[in-house]
Amino acid sequence: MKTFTICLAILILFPFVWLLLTSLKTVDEYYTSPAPLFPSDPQWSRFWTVLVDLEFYTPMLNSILIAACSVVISLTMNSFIGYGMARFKFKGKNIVFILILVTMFLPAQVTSIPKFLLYYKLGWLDTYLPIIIPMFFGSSTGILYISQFIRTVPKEMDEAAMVDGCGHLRIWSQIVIPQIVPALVLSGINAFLSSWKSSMGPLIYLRSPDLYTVPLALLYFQSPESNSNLMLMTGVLISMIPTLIVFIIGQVIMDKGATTADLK
Amino acid sequence: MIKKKKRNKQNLGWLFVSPWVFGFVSLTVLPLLYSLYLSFHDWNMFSDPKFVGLKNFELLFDKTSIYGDAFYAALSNNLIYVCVAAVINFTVGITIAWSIFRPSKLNSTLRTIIYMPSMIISFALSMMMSPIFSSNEFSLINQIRQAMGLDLQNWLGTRGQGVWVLCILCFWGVGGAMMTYISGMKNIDKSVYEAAKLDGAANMRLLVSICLPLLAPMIVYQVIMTFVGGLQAFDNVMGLATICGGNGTANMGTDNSLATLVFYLYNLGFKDFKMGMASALGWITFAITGVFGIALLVFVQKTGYYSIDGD
Repeated sequence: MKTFTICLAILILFPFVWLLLTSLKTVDEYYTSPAPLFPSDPQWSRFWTVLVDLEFYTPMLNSILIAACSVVISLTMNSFIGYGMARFKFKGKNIVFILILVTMFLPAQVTSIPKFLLYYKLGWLDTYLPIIIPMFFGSSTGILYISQFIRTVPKEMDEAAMVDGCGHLRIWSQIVIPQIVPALVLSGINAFLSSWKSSMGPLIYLRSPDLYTVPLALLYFQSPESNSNLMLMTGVLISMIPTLIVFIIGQVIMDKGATTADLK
Repeated sequence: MIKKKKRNKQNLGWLFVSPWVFGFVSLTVLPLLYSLYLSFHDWNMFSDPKFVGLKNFELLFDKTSIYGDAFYAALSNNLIYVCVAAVINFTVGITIAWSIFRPSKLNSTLRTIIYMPSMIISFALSMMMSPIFSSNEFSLINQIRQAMGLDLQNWLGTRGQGVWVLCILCFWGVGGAMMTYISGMKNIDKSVYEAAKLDGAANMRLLVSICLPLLAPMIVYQVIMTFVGGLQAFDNVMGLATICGGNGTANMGTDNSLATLVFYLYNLGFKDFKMGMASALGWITFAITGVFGIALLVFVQKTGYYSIDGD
């Protein structure tokens, strides 16, 4: 079984390596058949050309900005709503719970046309508002995940704080949140990735190239020279760097978070 | 006094949940209803909506119309894709999770490699396949075929074949399922494994008789979510269409070879401005997903996979 896994890992890695090799080839090498396996003269400068000369840094910064907003907003809101779901009993809670589940499998694209019209009427098209504002309403997976986690936090601490005169807002922000750091980190990584990867929203709502996010920039990639295919491949490679960095940061925090999470 | 406090607590609960409720009503319920309204109308966004009854649905289900043709291509592609994706995610996901769930340096490297493609932009992943699958003579597949003396092959642009490239991409998407199964396997009490090992159970036997039954709820959940996610396949196909057609937003491969339900919806709505028909297609997709959704709900209620009733 292990052999199978190793084979699969090699298979998965293969296009990445092939992509790297391809993007380093010279134009002539790319258009010869049969193509040489390794580039004879690696074109490392192409990374710089794509990033700076073709202004690939603009969509990168845009995407990072949106993803950062997404992490901050969705962590705050999901833990806020999750606290409500985990710590209160109220009439209709079961219905809310079922509806949260329903939105998990509801194809978001079904509502894309009415939403487009709504944002059009609000004058929000070609801004980041249609992408950022919905984050304030929480996401179902995030809420479910975080509220499950909050339920494992002992209630005694809440109650002690309440005796000391803390309101729910303070209990949420100062007692509960420090104890769910691992869940928040995981949820935050997810929020970053799903924002970084999301394409349909930006595709529908954004028009001007200055506002493009990375997926759009890749889709509408244009190069003044004839080697645009090679440039695109380089762009694809560049677009992978931030996610790898986030993944590594996340793992480091996870290792630390496990110890800082227990509040004494 | 006590009653008042309880009342207060009720309201506080609603207060905490209210952002979600507001979002749900304004961005899900109302748009859904409006989309139902639109699905009975002919509308191009600029003129007034014109009531046409069931005509949108009829056109989509009529095999002889261009819309019906694309719809059936999308539907069959999508069904093939979700089934293959579910099978691959389950079999491959479980197998690799089982072989690398114990902590070790090699295992964590393998985990990172297999999970990595799940983190990158779907367009990028699909475009990455362009040096391998594209129809020109410089792609890897065609280089190999030429070396073997076969003629050039345009998989992406042939109806009935394009979807299989999409299915092959599933191997790059098993990372998520693998991570879930690994966390499940780690949570199984070690003494269970040890007791079975003492009884002489082999590795395979451990997986089949101990691990799978214990993980059953997680597996069912994961499979249902794969179906739901697969029915919404959009950006990975669009990326493949970019390779195929040069200009990715123009069409869905050659002869709809890369059509999926949501991709078609996007093209109908935001390329052809047939808002009514796109809404109708949206509701058809919604109905198909609903079947899996109900299965999910029943399952969650029965097993308590997610639960809210603490204390």
